[in-house]
Amino acid sequence: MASNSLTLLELHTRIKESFRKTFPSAIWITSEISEMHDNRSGHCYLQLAEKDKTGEKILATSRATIWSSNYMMIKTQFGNITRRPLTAGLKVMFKVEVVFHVLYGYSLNVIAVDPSYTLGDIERRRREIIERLTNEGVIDMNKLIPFPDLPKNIAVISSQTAAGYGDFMEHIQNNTFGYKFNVKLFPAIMQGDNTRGSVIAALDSINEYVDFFDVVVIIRGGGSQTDLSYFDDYEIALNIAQFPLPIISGIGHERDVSIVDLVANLRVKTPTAAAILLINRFQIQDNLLSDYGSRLKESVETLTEKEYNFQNNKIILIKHLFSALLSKHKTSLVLLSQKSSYGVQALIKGQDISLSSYFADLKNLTSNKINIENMNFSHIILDIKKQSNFIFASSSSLLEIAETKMKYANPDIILKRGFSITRVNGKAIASISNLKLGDNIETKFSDGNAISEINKINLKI
Amino acid sequence: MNEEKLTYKDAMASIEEIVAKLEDNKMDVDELSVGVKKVSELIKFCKSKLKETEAEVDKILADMDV
Repeated sequence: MASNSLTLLELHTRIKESFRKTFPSAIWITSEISEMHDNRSGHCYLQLAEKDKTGEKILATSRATIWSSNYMMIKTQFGNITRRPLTAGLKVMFKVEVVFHVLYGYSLNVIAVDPSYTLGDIERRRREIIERLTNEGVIDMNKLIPFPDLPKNIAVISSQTAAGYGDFMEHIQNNTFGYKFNVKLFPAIMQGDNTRGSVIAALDSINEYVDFFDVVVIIRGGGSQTDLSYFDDYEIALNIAQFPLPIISGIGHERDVSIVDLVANLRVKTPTAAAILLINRFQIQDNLLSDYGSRLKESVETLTEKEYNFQNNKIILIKHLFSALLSKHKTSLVLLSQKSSYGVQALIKGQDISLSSYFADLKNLTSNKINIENMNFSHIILDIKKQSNFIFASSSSLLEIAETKMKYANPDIILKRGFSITRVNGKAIASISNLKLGDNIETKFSDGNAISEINKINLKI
Repeated sequence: MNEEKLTYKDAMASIEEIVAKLEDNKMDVDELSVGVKKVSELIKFCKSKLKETEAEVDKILADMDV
């Protein structure tokens, strides 16, 4: 049996001495917080772990304690700089005293933290997520969905009791313009470890009514604590990026941009801003409609005025032309009337009633006159024809008569009928008074002459 | 015009088209009244989309199992 054995206490005392020599003062270490519990007395108990590069295999673990005397200060400082609480899952640079307690064993006493290390680590992780989403070609997918002109049917992902949700509903439902939005809440847990699963489940529910909704609005629960780290999440970002509806991210912060903000179609800083954005979309359309209305009115007025003026000008022109024509024709009518008979004059005066009837009548009159003249002319020709026919006919009969008369007047024919011609000294005697007693008369017969002497003269009484 | 299937976007596009045609003097007086009537109806339709609520929509929202 070995005589140089130590009791446990002796061993622990030696280890403790060795620790004191090896770690005479506090040193800086980096580790991930795997568990974290606040104690009622104000102390904070941590479980630290170092994992390999894959994040799956644990390489080292240790207990750590932040005593209440340091905890309040560390918590405030960490929150102010990183704008997120000191929680499990974060990689932190701690200033620790490496202690060995004879009764409780090895432990680390945290006396300070360097928040900038965590910030750097978060940023590095963010960059990795962004790079991954970029490489997978999904990072801009939601941004590329055209935002609807009228985002009327809105699916909201939020916590029902959240102040931010209340603000959003207040603004959207009671907007001063009277626009009507249809809003449906899909409740989700917006912070803590369940955020990822809850938000993705809400997105899945909305996806079942994808044809009904126009947009999705994600509103953070609100409250003073601004923990956006749950939205720097690859899974949530992937789901949002690939969602078929445009998503408005209202989980942002004045200074911080989460990965969800990056992949969302639009991002706003507050839930109220999300409501205002949606109302603005309606206002744009409202203004556009009013603009169309006034443009319509204006162009109709312009067009009708143009047409009116056009017509008016035509009417004026026509009036001028007509009055010019009218006066011209009046002048010729006067001239004509001066040369015409009273009947024509009266006729023309009778025609001078209205412009249109005047023209019509003038035309009628002219054509009537021409017709009448034509008819007259035909009559005359007919008359001439008749007359000439008549003359010709009567001439013929006269000739016949003449011929007949001539026939009967032929002295030879008359002599043959028993008549005779009496001549004295070669001169035909038609009266007894041309004869005296003792005259020798020659009596001509058709077939010869006889010479006689007048013995007696008897006058017809 | 099929009122049921008319979307807000289509209505706005039609309004724009007719108003532009009017402004470019490409519409004659005969087409004017038809155009004005159509635009007025479309604007009314669009305005109603902004402000009117549809009972059917409320029912759909209420029936959603969330």
